[in-house]
Amino acid sequence: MSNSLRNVLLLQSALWLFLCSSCSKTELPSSESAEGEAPTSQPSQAEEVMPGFVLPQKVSVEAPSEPIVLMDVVEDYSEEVANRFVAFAYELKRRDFGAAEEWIAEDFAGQALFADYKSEVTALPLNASLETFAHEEAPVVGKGDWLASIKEGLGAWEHVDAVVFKVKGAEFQKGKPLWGKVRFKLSFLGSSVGGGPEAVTIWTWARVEKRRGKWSLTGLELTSSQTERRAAPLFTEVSTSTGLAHSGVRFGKQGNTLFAWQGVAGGDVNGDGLWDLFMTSQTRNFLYLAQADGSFEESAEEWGVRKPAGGTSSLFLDFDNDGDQDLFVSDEGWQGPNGQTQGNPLRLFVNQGDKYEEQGAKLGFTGIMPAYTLTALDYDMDGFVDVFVSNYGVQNKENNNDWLNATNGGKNVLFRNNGGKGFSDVAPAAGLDDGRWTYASAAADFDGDGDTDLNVVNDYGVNTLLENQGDGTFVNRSEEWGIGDRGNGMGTMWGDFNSDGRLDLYVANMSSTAGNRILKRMKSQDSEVVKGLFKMAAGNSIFIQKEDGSFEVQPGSMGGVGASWAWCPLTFDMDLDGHLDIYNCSGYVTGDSAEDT
Amino acid sequence: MASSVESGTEASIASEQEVNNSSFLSFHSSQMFTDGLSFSGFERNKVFIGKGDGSFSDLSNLSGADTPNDSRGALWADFDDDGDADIFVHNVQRERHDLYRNDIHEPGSPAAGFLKLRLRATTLQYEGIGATVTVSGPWGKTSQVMSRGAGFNSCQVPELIFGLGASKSGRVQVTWPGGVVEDFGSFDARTRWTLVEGGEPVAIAAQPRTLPDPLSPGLKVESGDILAKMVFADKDGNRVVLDPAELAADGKPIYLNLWASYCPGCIAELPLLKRKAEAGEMHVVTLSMDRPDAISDAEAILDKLDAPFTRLYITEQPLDTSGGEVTTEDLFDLERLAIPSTLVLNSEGRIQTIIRGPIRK
Repeated sequence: MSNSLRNVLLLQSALWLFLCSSCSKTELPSSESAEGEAPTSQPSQAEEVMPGFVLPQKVSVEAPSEPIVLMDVVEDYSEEVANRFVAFAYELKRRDFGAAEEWIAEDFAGQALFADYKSEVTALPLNASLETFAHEEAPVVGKGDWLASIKEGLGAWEHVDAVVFKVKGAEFQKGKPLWGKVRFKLSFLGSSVGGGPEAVTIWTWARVEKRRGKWSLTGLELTSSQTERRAAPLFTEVSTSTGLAHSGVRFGKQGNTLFAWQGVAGGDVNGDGLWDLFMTSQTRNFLYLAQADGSFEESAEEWGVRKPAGGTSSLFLDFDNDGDQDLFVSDEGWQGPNGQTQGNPLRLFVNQGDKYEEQGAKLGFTGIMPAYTLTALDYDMDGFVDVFVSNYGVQNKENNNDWLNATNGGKNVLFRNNGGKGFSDVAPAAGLDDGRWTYASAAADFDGDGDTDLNVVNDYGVNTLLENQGDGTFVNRSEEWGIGDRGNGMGTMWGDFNSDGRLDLYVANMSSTAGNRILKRMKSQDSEVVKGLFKMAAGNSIFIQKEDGSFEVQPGSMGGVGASWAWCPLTFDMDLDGHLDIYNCSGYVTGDSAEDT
Repeated sequence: MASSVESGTEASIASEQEVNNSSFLSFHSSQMFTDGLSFSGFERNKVFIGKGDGSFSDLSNLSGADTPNDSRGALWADFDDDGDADIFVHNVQRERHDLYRNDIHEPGSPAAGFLKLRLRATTLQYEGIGATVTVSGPWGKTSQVMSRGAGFNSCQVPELIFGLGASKSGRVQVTWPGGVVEDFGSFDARTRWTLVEGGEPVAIAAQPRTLPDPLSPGLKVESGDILAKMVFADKDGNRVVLDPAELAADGKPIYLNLWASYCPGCIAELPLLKRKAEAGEMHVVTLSMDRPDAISDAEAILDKLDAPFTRLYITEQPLDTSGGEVTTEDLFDLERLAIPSTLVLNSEGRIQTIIRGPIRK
């Protein structure tokens, strides 16, 4: 952070304020303010098991005839349902089918999730396949058979990796009994016997009803059902077998309040031609030297980089052109309330051949700033590579001053490399001392004019594509080139996604199921603010460079952009077919509890 | 035990003072983290396969690299020098360092042509940072940037890997920092080069090595480990000690079969195990993964089979152990355990073989 958690919570609050103020002012009569909670003398017909219950032949989940419209009430119920079914999904993942009975009403009637009925198999890339089921033909069954179908489906798997029930939308009926029609996306991930991955994705309309204080499933209608398969996974995790594994304290355990968002640097530290890895952590750093037998040997202590601990980004670069890889580390630092320095300064470890020596202060690569991604570029083409520092905001001092274009972050820094003898900040003169909340940047000569340009992505803001003028200055031409992407920018990387030889751009943003769920309920969908918020919650962007050198954002329907709360993107050709692929880090904070706040 | 996971706790090293000095978190955020709540949690990393026209297929679910851990930094590099790029991911908690070996193609597969390129600039700084490399062939022409420091908090290695598909060669052009565009001509597939600005390319010798296979899913032990005494439960949850020396005093192997009543593949192999046990070829110990209220289902299946098996169960209650005894927790990660799996032990308790999947003969 600095984690943007606090800001996210505030964003949520702001969203609520906006939503609630707009709905209470324009959409709701005051008499509806207690809807859904009003006591009623009518007993729920489904409170008890219905002895005369007859299974219908078809299930069509009806929509509430008098839906609750107060958005915060709807969201509260949606979240209750989502969290209730997190626990249900967990029992299914454990394959504790007995425990799972609690969530299903005795008078449940719904289509079986796993059953043998009509389907069609189509090919996916890399010898994977997709089986699409004629969902309307899925048999309608009662509680016992419905759970039995899941037991049969998941029981046949060698291993269940995850079961996820996501609430994508919901409507609830006023009055009692309290019930709703919920859009559920169900995901079952695991492997079949032999280890081939399987992924079942089912979209449903579900009827849920609150009985004795707990939400139960009373009906379920499939709207699509598909299974992806491959004989073996594309990648195999080999962290432990190569000696790289390290276990950190998970959130929710005592002690893990210490964290920053740490990356990783790869390079050849000792000149043996093998790729080594360096990364920071809260209490110590790690330097993994690759060995000829395929393993890694942790050597941070021997190389003098185990401490000082902490840090965010790290960068290998030969700044003094002596033929070895020096190591730059960024970190979060800020001035405390009484002017005292808190956090840590930047650091520069100079490679001495068989160990590193920290000389940041001596060489001018220093300073207290909320520093994140470090990017190497020889901006002035003097043969000594310079370093751009992406600076975020200092949240414990000041919140972002805007949700759509925050400008009160730490100013970005460009450290000019003075002939390998030291560094000095030239960002103001270069036009790069932007105060937006910058997490990341990526350098490339995208316009092919010989100098290196810079794309900078900002949280709570817009992208900034900065053209190197060749005279030591940069000019922001984002709008002109069609790159002014609004979003919560977290990461960026250049690539060529349509194999036309021109560099395209990938930007990772955060997206949120809850955020989108809330926004879709807003009636003022055309307002600029809502459009802006939608874009902020929309996810990643791909910008394709056109023949005239400008860019256009690619429609989301072309794929490659749905990556939830995204962090580091990688653009490379993982399947060696000539075309670039994308890997994207996702997820914000996973605690002991699967219930999302 | 084979597991070499360093379970050192970062927090135990950290002093309270460090916590106070280093934390950027507001009260509410800290509370959320320490309480173990989730916020956009359990989101899985994504794998999008490019089709070359700018569109992508989402194969995340089949990738094996879709960790639900909270990942931040990442890089790709060919750590085993087999021609394709592996992925390293840095997570912020739990299993923090993830290395994913690229197994998309069999090594040497005809469809997996590659060209690995490093740069040596001569006009400006020698690493060629910021250069654009374009490789063309039947798929079109694809450009990549020699980048150090991009993505999020991450620094890529100074080597680019271009896929050539089934093509035997690819044509290479470099736009060097400073703007010189140089056409290097055609290079054969499956070769490694340092491209020198204005000079002759230098071949790089291959250094292939093996990134070893992981343990079988959910097992914390591997072949060769000795399990002298194991503590499990009987159907009523009572402590039972499995002592290989005692059970296999006759020298016959022990087949410790991991199964569950809901697993058809597991049930299907039980008659074969019965025949072998009755023929005196082995001692069969069934260890069921069934939850407590399904143990009766497991017992019913075994009763019907009427085989000379030692029937054991896992229990969620901790069982007393004394020196040298290992429990379910020492042996298995139940969240990931693949069934059916069978550990073949000798009378010493040494694991001879691990059979993943059904026993076929």
